[in-house]
Amino acid sequence: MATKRLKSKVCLVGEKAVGKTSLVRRYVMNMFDEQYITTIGTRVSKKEVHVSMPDVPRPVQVDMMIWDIMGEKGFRELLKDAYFYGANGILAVADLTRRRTLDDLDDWIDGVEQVVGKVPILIVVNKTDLSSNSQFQERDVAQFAKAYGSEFFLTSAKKGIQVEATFARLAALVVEHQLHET
Amino acid sequence: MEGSWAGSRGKWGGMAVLVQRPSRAHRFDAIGLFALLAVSLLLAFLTPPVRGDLPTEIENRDASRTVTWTMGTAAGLAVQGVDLAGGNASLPWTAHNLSWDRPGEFAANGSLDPTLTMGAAGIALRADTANHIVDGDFVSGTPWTFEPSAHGNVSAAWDTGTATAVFRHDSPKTESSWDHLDVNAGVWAGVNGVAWTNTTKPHEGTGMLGLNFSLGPGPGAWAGVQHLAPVNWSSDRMVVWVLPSNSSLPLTFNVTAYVGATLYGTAPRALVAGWQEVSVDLTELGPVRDALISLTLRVNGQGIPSGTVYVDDLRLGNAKQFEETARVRQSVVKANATSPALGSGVVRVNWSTPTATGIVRVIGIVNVTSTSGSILRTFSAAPGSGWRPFFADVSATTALPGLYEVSVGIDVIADNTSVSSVEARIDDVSLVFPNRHNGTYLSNAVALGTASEFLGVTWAFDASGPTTLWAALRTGNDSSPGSPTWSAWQFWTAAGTYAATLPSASFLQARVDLTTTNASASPNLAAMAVATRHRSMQSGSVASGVFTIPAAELATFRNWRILEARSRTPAGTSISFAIGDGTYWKPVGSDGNITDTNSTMIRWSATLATTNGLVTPTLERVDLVYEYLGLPARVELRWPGWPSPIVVPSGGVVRFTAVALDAGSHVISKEPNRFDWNTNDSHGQVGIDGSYRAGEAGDHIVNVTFVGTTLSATVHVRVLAAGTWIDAMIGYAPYWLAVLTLGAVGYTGYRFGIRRTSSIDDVFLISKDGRLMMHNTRRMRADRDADILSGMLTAILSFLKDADPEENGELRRFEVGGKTTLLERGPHAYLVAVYSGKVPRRAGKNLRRFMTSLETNFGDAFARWSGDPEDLQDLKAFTGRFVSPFRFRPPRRMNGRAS
Ligand SMILES: Nc1nc2c(ncn2[C@@H]2O[C@H](COP(=O)(O)OP(=O)(O)O)[C@@H](O)[C@H]2O)c(=O)[nH]1
Ligand SMILES: [Mg+2]
Repeated sequence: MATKRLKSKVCLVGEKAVGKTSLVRRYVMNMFDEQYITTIGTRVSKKEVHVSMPDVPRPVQVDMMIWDIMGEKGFRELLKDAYFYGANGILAVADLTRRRTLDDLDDWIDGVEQVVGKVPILIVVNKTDLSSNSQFQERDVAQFAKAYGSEFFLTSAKKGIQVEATFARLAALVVEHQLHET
Repeated sequence: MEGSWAGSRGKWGGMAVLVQRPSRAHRFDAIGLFALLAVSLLLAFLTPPVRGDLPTEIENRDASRTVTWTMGTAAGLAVQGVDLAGGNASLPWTAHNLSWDRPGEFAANGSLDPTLTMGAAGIALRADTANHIVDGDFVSGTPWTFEPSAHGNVSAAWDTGTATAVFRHDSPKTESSWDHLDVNAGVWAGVNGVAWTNTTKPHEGTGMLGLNFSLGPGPGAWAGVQHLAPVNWSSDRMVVWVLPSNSSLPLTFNVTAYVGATLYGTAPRALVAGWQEVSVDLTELGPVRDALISLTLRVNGQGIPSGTVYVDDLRLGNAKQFEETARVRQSVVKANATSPALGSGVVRVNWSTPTATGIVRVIGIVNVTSTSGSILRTFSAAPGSGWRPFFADVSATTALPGLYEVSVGIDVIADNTSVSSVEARIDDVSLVFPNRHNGTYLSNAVALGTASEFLGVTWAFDASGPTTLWAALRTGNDSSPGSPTWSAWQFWTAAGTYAATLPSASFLQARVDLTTTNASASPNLAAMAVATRHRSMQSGSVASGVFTIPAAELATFRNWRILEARSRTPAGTSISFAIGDGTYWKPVGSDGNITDTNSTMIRWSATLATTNGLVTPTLERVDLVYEYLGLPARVELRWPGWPSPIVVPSGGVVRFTAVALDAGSHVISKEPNRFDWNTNDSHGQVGIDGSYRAGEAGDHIVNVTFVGTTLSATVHVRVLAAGTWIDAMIGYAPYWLAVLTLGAVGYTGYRFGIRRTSSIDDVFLISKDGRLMMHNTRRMRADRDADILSGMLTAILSFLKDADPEENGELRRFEVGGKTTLLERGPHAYLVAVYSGKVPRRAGKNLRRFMTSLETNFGDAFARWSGDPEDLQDLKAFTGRFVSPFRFRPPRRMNGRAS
């Protein structure tokens, strides 16, 4: 059976240094660089993901274009339109060791929805390997995610925990959304 | 604020003001210029020479030296309006005293309740001083009523001459001599003693009756002189002069006699030394006294072995006996009610009694009467010279309004037989209702000029008896007392000098509460003094002497770099610096940069100023750093686009420059011929002028050495096979971004590569969200990802547009890596065409037509595109026509949507 192909655009949002770039690197290249990588402006990566959907007869291959943004708030305002334009899904990333990064996701998500309307959003709390320094609990995340009707994942880009699963789930949500949109 | 840099503007201390701008010198005439120069020279001359031990100079690692001045001593420093203490320069304290010692100063700085009054002595509670007595000073005699005593013994009259009221009594004697006692033999006989007649110094006439006696130790002993014949003493009073010898005392005197068989005696009366007139009430001898037998004048005492007493001038008469009062009075109408509290109603009268003889005593009487009651006060109007005052408080009976009668009387009491004469006077009668009420003085917010510390306060006031005075102060930092910057009140209840514990502030407010429980009495506020201090508001300055670069260092000296100060400038304070060489001053900016100074002589000045009297800037140390040319320390390479990595296509040329620097990064040489150039790019080469021509694709190095030294520098170059520009874009996104930015603003100078015949290499159709819809390429390459390229390009283009919408919003063409990229935007997507070699003249127009054609045929499909490439299948063929070497001709409109 021939594979169906789909091009998708997903954006990562979240405060600076929560680990967005690290998650992408881990997912796309399967490597984690201890060294601090500062994203310059926007970086676009690509990953081909295979998704099987119960109600779609053919397997789907998604060319998932992953947009990673520099996490400064000022920058968000500046590039918001171009960056979020046409996004099919959002990965909203917070840092387990900084409570503020979770609270600030509100603003990010609002920013996205202003541009693209309702699209699938996954809440990701990264750096679970640093749980001894955690500033909030899983139930806080659950409560937060519930407010957006979203699912959430606890990841460690450093240890490679739940990274693959997170992106796979996002891909599935995006495909479902994209196919049912038309 | 450690080591911070204050603003450079401000005054330049006392000296530099002269050197600085005269601001109205728009026309800078010759005389002004001359004067300025003269002053400058004079100042330079007057500046004290630098002492050998100041300043110190140390060598730094970067071809510079630091010259340091510290503020430990004034040696080598010109100090003005600044204290040097504890190794710091700071602004000195200035004392400021607020002193109000006249009531007018209180009034000028605040307000008094209407119940207060200002007098010469100070501020007190205001009294109603209206006198309700008319003609109290007896100038006119009316409306007084002058009322003699009931039986006319005492008169009351108005004395026009003295303008007083005068009271008199005069009466002759009622006594007459009964026995002069000049001759006594056969008339008087001694009892329990020996009587005789003494003619030496009698009190009256030619002699007197003496009695020598001796009294035993027991009680009841007496001696006397007895009249031998019975006597008729029907008069009621006997008066006799008596003189006891000093050694006889104590003794008492009385008279005894028999009436029939009954012995009567008058009450004994103590004798004193010297002559005394003794008056005896004869009625004590019984009602019938016409035949008194054995009448005896007795002295009584005990234990007197040898006594003598003389009596003389015995008289008899009937006593004048009366007590009568004469008055002056008038009615007073009182309109308003007053308090019944003490002091609310007071009568005053001045009195004098020049004469009062032959009477018992004189008494003054003040009486205030109304229907609601009466009050009567008496005073002893004892004779004596001069006027004396008498006050009577009548508050209780005079509280209500109404009609009152005020009278002042003189009561004369007589009980004697001698001549009587009384003269008493009154004057200046007043009835006042002082009606004093508590009051408060409140000052304004008194500005002290600047924030100040409070050292002490002195209060001068009287508050005694029923009065109290509370003085209070508070401080604040704005002119609205009571606002949140104000402290609570601090109170003082006794006069004196106190250490103040008020919070430091720039405003002060005083409050004084004067109270009394007696409407006649008032406290009195005389003076207030508040001692404060603040940091001098005059700016002060410290200036160094001229420092000269040591002769040995002159040859390599380059310039001064920086003035650095170790200082503290709390909020509100500043330190501004200037430097000069002795002939001028110029301000130093807040960054301390003095690199434009290369004089070998230098001095500095610091101006300390504050706008807050509580704080001072402090200056601990000043460092001036100068640079010199040291030995070569390293070599550096530069190229166009430095410091971006070098990416060059094979055959491209990069022009390198080498610099030899000292430890302070001062350029020692840039001349290419003083450097040796090398590369490991075996197909490339570097010329002696530093231009490198890239050889084979791959990573290489270019190396340079400063001739005659081992100092060298190396740089990596990446040489790309010609035509791999897309890889370059993806791999070096930041670099690409930089180049694009430059290109967009018109910089096209940096290209390399060889021109070839024109051809379209690639055509991309990209949706507005960055997803690639279609890619047509003439040369298939496996190692690049057009999807990623599309996304990046979209992101970068929108970044450019955001950075400068005017310039970049319509960016249609840019060049990179020897390729030319043309852009064409449609409503849903945009088209990117990449050309190598010369771009055909009509290419732009061609592309636009193609875009229009695409939107016409696929606009709907674009708008609805969900990301499925199958939806756009018809595009491929359509795009192929454009990539063909021929001019693009739009086909006839294709039918329907692509899916
Ligand atoms: N311990 C730990 N560090 C992480 C993790 N993910 C990222 N980091 C570190 O967090 C810092 C910021 O990461 P980065 O990916 O640049 O964050 P971004 O600004 O959100 O893209 C870097 O120092 C990373 O090494 C993680 O899962 N665990
Ligand atoms: Mg990042």
